[in-house]
Amino acid sequence: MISFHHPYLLLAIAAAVLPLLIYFFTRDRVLIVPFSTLRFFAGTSAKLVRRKKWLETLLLALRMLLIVLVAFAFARPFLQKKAAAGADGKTKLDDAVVLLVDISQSMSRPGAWKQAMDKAEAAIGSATVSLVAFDQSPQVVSTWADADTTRAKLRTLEPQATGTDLIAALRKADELLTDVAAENKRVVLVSDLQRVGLPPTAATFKLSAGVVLQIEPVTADAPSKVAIVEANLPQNVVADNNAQSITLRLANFTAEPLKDVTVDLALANQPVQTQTLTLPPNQKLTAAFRAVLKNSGDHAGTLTLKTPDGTSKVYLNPFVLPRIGVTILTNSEDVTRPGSSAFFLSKAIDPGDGSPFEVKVLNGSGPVDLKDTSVLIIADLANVSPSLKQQIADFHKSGGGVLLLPGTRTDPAKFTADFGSIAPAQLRRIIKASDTRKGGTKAIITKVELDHAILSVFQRPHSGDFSAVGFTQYWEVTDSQLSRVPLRLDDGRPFMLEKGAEKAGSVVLLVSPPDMTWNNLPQRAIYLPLLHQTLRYLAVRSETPTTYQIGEVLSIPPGHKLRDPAGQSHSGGSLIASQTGHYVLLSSDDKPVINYAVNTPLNESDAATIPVEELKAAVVHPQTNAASTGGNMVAAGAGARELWSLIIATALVLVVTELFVSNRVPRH
Amino acid sequence: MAQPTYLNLATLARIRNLQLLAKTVVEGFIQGLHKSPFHGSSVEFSEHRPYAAGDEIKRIDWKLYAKVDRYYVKQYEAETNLVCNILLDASASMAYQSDPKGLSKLQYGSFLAACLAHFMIGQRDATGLTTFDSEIRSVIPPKLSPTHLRRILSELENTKPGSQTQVAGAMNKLADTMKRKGLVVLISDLIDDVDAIKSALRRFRFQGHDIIIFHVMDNAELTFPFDRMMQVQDLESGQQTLVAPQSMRETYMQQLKQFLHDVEKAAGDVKADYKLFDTNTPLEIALSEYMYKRSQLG
Repeated sequence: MISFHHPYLLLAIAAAVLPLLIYFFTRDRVLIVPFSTLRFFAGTSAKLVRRKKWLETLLLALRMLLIVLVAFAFARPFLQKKAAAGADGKTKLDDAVVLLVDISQSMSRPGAWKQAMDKAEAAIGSATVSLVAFDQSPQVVSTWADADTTRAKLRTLEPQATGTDLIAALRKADELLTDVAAENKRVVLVSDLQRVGLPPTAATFKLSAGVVLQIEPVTADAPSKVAIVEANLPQNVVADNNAQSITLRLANFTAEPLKDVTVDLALANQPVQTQTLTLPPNQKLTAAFRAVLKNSGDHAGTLTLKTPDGTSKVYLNPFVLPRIGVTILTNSEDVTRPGSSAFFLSKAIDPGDGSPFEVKVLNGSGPVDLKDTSVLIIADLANVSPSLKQQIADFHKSGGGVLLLPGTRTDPAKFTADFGSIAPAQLRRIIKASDTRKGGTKAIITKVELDHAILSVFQRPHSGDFSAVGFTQYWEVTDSQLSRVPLRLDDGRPFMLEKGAEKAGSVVLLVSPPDMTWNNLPQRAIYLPLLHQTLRYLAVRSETPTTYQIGEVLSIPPGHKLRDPAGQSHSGGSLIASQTGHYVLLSSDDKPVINYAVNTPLNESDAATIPVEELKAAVVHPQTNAASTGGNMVAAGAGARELWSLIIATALVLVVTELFVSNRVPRH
Repeated sequence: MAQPTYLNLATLARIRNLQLLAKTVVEGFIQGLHKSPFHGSSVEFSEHRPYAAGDEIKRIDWKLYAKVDRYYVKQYEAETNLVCNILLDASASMAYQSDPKGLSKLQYGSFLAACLAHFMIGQRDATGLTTFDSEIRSVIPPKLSPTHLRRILSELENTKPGSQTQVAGAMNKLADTMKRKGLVVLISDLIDDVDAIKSALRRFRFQGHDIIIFHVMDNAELTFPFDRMMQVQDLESGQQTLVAPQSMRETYMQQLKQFLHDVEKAAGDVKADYKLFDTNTPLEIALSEYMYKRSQLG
């Protein structure tokens, strides 16, 4: 179906009669000339006259058609068709449009939602559209539906108490457009364009080439003056005497300084601290609170922002965990020797009062006390008494984790005899890099199994350079077939082996202990996180989050119930958080187990917006033409321009033809 | 009586400088410059003329001398030695006139005929005039008297373009009526079948006539100077045809050239003198050229 951007310009088609009028007014007047005889005019003249008349008629038609085409082109026609499935299974459209509607919490500000609906309705026009509502995640409401259906679906939307992820929404729109075969692909974004909606991954995302982005910005009638836009809320902390830090980021969105802004911190129903602040204009200010959390378990509380315009709350629950007990068994002379494995281990595991570990370094020759021990580290232990051997076996069977660090004093045969039943592999010999490598280069770690629970924290880019660790010597191992090898050296030999047993603890073996005579691991950045993660893994410490956002899933263990802030109890595995406040997990006998603090995404309160052009520059493919930021999506269709260009090209061809034909017309 | 418009004294003065010498000796009775195989005089009195030195004494009219006391000589009809018939084509095609300020072919032909008649009668040659188109429209038999010249000139003045040309048909009819040998001067555009014209000329020639053809064409007919699309109307038939001059010129000129060649060849075949006149050509120049040529033929 052909539609026009400027249909009134079609009136110019009437100008097509001009060539006709000019022809009739200026055509050659054929004079009647008396002549003595016609005997010298043989029939060629009649033939020529017929040819001239035909060419003149053709010329006239060309000129009239030319005017019609030019008028047609200036009216800017475009084709609009219903969706149809192509042979390749892709939906075929002339213009594929995805309408993205922001339903995040920020859209519930006064006036914003109505404005968004109006702009979305206007943008739909008469196009065939896929409607996607988005907050933190995109939800496809309808796909390639007609305008009426899309409008009906649009009316069912309403803002949620959720955050914004513009990139996720744009990515979904791009996916939808990838699934259709269309000459012109367009994304219409109706949003308040919060800057927080651009996550760090925005830098790596671009819409596909040819996908045009049309942005319909929405602004609230009365934007908030001040808000908590960010908070660092501790969730799982280890009990110690140091104060825990709780920080807030407050933003003043006005051009005037805001005085007497107070923030109250209350924990476990007890007021902890109140701060009165003056917020500079158009700036953010950090407010820091410190609280000593000695008791294990819940510390449900609130941060209350009080301004002359009202109050707002942030819920939190710092959950205090007991420390992880770690016992290091080593030789008596290594207990205090600087540079030994025990030395580096004790310093790394227990760097201060804030450490989640509680470390004991013991001489491993005789029986030891493993009562509060969750992880046992056996560091280059030369002699293991039978009683200690049995004690270690029992510890392992009871679920305790064991970290084996064989060193110089370790005898492979004794290692097999003492730990063969639990060790991931048997020791064979010590390999010195200087003996096996040209130039005495050190061995390095080249294969890292990031899927392993110990190493998952290193998945992020630049989160750990394993190749920086150089090994001068290491144990060659055998019989490691049943073990998992999260880390390997560059010669293919394992560096870290892990073996788990049913109804028993896990055992990790490092073939080169953190000793400066073996390697430089203790001096490398990955040492501390690698060791801490290994110990956490061996201690089987799972830390349950205590702070959630609206829309996230709260788990309900079997036999437990979850009471929401409104007092209603829920059971059945999980519940989607839909209210702000504290959800309380109750045991079967209705005793509180843990509190879950649920907040709206704090950054939704951040009224800072992204300029339209900046967003386009960030996400539009460089090969895509610049898009209009306003107007009806049908009227702004790229297809219309192409049709216009096609008509102009045809008109140019006609002009050339007209010139050619006019030169062929006999003048007389 | 008003002076006839056809007589241009300047033109006649130019012509008098030349002597018309008949190509062949024709029978007749005339004194003066013309050679003649016949002697004696005609029996039909025509007019008196003053006695001139050289006239025979016996031809003086003594009775008139007794009355007026001056010598006059009697002039008789038979005193010419050349009978000249001017045949003027007065068909519709002769009315063509490309230049409004110029002459039509008929006007030009009439002027030419008048000059010839005046000249010939002045030379004591009996001159007649016949006008025709598809039919013979008027016949003035050859005579010598000055009043006869006025009659010819009057007839020329009153000649209007008629209908279609049938030169051959009209000449055939004339040939039957012209018993005496003489000079036949045909003034026409000759727009007819050339073979038929040739056949008619051959008949004249067979009867012993000397034939002069003045082929009169308009300058536009010879040069075809048109440059705009036009609807050409045949003056004789009234038929029209649309003509694009630029593309038609070549064809036209080829056919015209062929026509002129055919006509000239036909004239040559019957030993007729042929002269093509352009209506833009000054009349005296055309006549002078012809008279000179005629004199050369001796």
